Amino acid sequence: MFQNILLRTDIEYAFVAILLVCLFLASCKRRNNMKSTIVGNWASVLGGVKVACIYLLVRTCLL
Amino acid sequence: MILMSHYSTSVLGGGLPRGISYYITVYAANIALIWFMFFSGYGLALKDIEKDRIPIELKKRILKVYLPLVFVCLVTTLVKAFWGDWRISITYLLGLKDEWYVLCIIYFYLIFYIASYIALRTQINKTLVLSIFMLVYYIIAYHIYGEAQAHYYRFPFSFMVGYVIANRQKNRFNIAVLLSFSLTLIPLGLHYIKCYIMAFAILFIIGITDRLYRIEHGVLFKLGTISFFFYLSHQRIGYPIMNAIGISSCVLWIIITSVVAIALQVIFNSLNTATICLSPNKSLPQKQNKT
Repeated sequence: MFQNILLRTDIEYAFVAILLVCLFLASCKRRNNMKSTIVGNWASVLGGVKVACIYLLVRTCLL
Repeated sequence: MILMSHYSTSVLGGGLPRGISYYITVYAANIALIWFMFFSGYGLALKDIEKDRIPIELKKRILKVYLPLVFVCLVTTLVKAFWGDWRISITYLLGLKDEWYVLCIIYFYLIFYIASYIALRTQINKTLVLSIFMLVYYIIAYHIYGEAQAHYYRFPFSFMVGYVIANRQKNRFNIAVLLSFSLTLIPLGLHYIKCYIMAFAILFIIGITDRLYRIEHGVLFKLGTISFFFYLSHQRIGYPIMNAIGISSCVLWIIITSVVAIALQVIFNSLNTATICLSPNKSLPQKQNKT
């Protein structure tokens, strides 16, 4: 029982951490060049992160 | 980060095996608090205050952190009354119970503004005066509060690092200040030294990226505007609501607290604006015309 709660908490923490990093990246804007955002530069990375977030969310709900 | 750490201690308790939860419990809240204090010192150092305005500025600063605390305590009491708990504690309503951060930051404000006043009056270097005052505070807090309330003396180093970094101009006292304040970490033990190293390492990395990028919009920026109410309400209001729902989840706690914090901020700002409008001696700040 405790192991389940621990695992679920671990997953939730990982989810929150990834979400915060995503929000941080999404809130950043490149200096001197308003069009080129960090989100644009890291689009491929963020794509992977989004998939990971959805996966973690699903796992969290299932546990 | 503080909420996650509190979640671990409330739900999981102590004696965790090494893993994500363990590291979050042990490091996250301390790192966040080091950042809080760092930015307090940084922000205050950027203020250029005239001697005559110091009492007004001090009062403004204290009210800015103290009034939201009292407001949240009042709302918490009302929420508790809604659930049938009619006990009213004056010390709780005044924010003197279960709260250390706001009181600690008020002490730091007091020390900063008194040091500024003395430095301006005597023409002695402000960094030197502030350092002496903070060291005296550290020694007093260390002996008065002791291990049980160590939060009160854990963060003068962080505050001073923020202050020194914000004072970009070369100051012969800066290195001496950092060296002498780093000695205050020794009684805190290896764990807190590790927390400080991690906190400053992350700040350093963000400092490098800050040259290239800036945060000016987005959800994180908006969350920043409610962060103080989020901190004040997460244990007082968010946690009981989560328990009342009956689902123990960190994500749910964050969502509930975010909603509560937004609501509290909107109500508090409305009350604030109404008070300013009703006050006979004050008026809303008027736009200055550029000529």
